[in-house]
Amino acid sequence: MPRPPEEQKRPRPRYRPKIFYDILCSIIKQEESAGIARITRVQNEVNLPSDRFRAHLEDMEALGLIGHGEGLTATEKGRDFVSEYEKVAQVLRRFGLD
Amino acid sequence: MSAGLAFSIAYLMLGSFRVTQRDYLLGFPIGFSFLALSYLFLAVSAAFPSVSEVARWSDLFSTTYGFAFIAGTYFLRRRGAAGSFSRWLFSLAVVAVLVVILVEVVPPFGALPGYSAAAQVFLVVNLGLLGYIILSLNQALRRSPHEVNFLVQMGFILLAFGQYSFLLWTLDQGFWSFALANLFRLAGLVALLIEAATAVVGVNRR
Repeated sequence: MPRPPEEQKRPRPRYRPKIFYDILCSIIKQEESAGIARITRVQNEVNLPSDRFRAHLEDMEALGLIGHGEGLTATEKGRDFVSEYEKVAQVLRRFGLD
Repeated sequence: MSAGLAFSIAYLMLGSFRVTQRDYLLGFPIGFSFLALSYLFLAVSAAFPSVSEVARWSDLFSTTYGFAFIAGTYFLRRRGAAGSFSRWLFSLAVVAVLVVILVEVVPPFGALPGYSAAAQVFLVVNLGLLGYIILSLNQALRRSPHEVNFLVQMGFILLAFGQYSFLLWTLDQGFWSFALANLFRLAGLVALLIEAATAVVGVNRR
């Protein structure tokens, strides 16, 4: 029996590193365009419920990937993580594994 | 040389697991490490006749395990594996049981078969596993033609040609089948390594 279209199109759950990557990309994009990354805008862009989003931010701060002041900032380590993640995603796409 | 190439691919793919933490991706570095070991066993079997028998059998097992792990990665990818380490263990157990059945039960009365007969069975299994990998890549290529690279598929096709040539060699023991098997294997590994390495360098250059 064919599955309903909404079930077929349901996105795969994101892994934690992918969520970190999405959050960092959103922060970097906003830093470049508006000069500051607002928490609510980042949360809207990465499409996560508030409690999970806050928990991820705490983890990322503890790992030194982001800074938290007036807005959110991507640290050097965070930018390195983004670059590393992009390399890996590229390899996985080429091997049909992403 | 083949062992070095396979270990390099394993190392590059280990990075993908380390960064993304998707457990099914572990199959790639494990698989290529098994392949690298099998090439080392093959070299040992040729260089040291005293341990040739053990090394040749180890080569058979590790090659099949290598391809099984790589095929398992594509299988779990297609099934949308999430948190699938238990599934990995299950897959490994299934492969182990299949190998035992092939080696112990299929030959008459549980006796170990002759190397040549066993090698043919293992090579046919390897060809089946490589067929599955190539099919999976073909589907991924059709789904995202601009992302999946044709050279990767070519690499696995060359590895399959290599296994087929080895199969021919077990039948005729000819020079050309052996030489072609090694050439195809080397070319396949080079293609895969180029793809894995250029992806990393390409992003670095951006």
